[in-house]
Amino acid sequence: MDDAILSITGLSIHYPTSTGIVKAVDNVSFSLPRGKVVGLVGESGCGKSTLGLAILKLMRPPGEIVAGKILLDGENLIDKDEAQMRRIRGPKVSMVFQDPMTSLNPLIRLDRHFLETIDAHERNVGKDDAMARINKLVEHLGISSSRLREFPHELSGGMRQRIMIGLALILNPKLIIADEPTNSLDVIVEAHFLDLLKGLQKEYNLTILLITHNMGIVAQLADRVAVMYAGRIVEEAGVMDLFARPLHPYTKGLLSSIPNIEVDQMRLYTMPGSPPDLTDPPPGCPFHPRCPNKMSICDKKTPHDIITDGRHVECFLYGGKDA
Amino acid sequence: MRALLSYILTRILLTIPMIFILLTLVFFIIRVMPGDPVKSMLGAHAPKETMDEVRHQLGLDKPIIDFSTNNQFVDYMSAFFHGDLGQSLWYRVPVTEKIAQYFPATLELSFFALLFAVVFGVATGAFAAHKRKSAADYSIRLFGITSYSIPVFWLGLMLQMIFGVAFDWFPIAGRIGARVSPQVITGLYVVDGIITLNFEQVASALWHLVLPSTALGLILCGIFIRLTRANMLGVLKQDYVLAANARGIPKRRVVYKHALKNAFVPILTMMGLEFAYLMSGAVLTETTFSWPGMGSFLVESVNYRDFPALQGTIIFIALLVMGISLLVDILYAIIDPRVRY
Repeated sequence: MDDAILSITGLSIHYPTSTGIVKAVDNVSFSLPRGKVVGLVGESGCGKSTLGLAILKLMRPPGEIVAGKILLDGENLIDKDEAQMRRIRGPKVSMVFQDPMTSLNPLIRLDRHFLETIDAHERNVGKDDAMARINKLVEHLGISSSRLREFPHELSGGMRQRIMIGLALILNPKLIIADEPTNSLDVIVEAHFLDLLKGLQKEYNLTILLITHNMGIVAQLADRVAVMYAGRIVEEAGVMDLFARPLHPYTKGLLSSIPNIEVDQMRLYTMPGSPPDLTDPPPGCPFHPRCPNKMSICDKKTPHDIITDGRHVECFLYGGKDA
Repeated sequence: MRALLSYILTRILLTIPMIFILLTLVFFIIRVMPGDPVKSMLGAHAPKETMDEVRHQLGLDKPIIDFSTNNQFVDYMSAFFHGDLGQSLWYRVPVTEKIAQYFPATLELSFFALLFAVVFGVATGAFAAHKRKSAADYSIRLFGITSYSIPVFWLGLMLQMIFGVAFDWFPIAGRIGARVSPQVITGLYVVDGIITLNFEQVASALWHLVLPSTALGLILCGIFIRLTRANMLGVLKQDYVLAANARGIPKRRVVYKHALKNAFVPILTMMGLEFAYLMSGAVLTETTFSWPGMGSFLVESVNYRDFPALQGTIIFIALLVMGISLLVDILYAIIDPRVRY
């Protein structure tokens, strides 16, 4: 973990709303090892997308970072102003969004999307050179470069998502944040897309933060997994360890909720309850109202920085009760 | 490109039935209106024989509509397709001639007023959305609602008093200086001046346009400010704006290229509506600035009970409105590649 391309410590993001402050991300620390794929999983509304956007300081208003550090190659992004951040977005860190239909400007041709991206960061590249580079990349992604003259709505969903990947790669960044990249794709297209992503990751030695709620995608692609619940990362481990031996009761619940073709199940396991209201989270561990292993300490103290067997898990079952 | 052409062609073909419906409606509405054109022509005390005679000359003794080919409706339709909108009862000249005389004045004034309103309104509205909740935003919004609610004749009078009378910078009435005798080709004095290379005429015509088009433009720009700002705020929340920011596209480009282009479609609709409305003549502005346009002509025609002039003018304006909405639809398709039949 020494060679982390990105490391986040104590990051908190608050959304002031009329009903109170929503703690979308609450004291989160984790890091992305260079050249690895880290899956960030959790239910809708657990703060995983906000965390992804926060790395580029692009939280939707009125969200703001209230504490913490985001170190990209050792530089703290919290100290950067908007102009400096703009030069990081694209060439250093890029994003792939979940819905390629709405993430491409419907009135602008695809080649324009690429050209303006290059133009925004590399002033002295001529149009012909830029086009040659774009054509090469797009062909590499399996799309005929002649289609670049078309508008986003003229492509299929899978092609659009490959265009989004192309836009994320055109400036050769080392880190890509992929926010539910296959959400709008059907399973066949999704499988192709994941293969493509995996290939690209090896080819360009990319570090990918893969935000998803789909454990299957994580199992296929990720090297490490961070599980998020109610704005906090509750468990982080290597993908093999996590699937073989989940520690946190929430992770156990998540994994038992996946249908398993080899087990004869009449009913699928469901976790009782629902995620807490983030304007007024329960005291102590936010998971305790739903937890099958609840202890007396759980609604009094919040578990923090608990390490067991070299794994990070925020649960009093594994120690930290005296801290 | 082929799709665009077939869209335009379809859209043009669709206007043909619309023209028929329009002509029919105007014909019947004019005829159910109270008042007798012959009486208003000759006066209420004219002898009955004279009235009958005139009625016969005008073809008004024929049935309005029946199953023969000799009725008023057929006469009216046939005249229309021969380019004849009837004779003005008051001026005793073809209505088309009067329209040709008054319409260019209205077109000239409307063009400059709308140009001012759109350029100024869209620019400030987009800026307000860009700098949302800043002092500039609040001032622009206040300005928008104020300019929208000021009565145009009052604004016109104020402009006349300040810039026409007190400072004496601009003329306060008419289309052209008394010493310039305009050469008329299209009737648009600015265009005619350019065609004939008569730059004294161009300067004088533009000079006369300043105050009336500013007054009208200021009133209209409030709508454009508010519409642009509201649409821009909506578009700025879209995913592709976030995605463009995430690619490090400079904010100015994101706002004024990505967002404004998408926010422009409803603005275009409003431009079409406003322009169509202006074509019927901005009566109050034209009256304040003694501007000899369609508004003045319409008011005159109503006052003189000049039914043929009224009917002809209404048809002319309605056709224009149709033409403008056709144009707006075509522009939609050019801006937004998703608009197709």
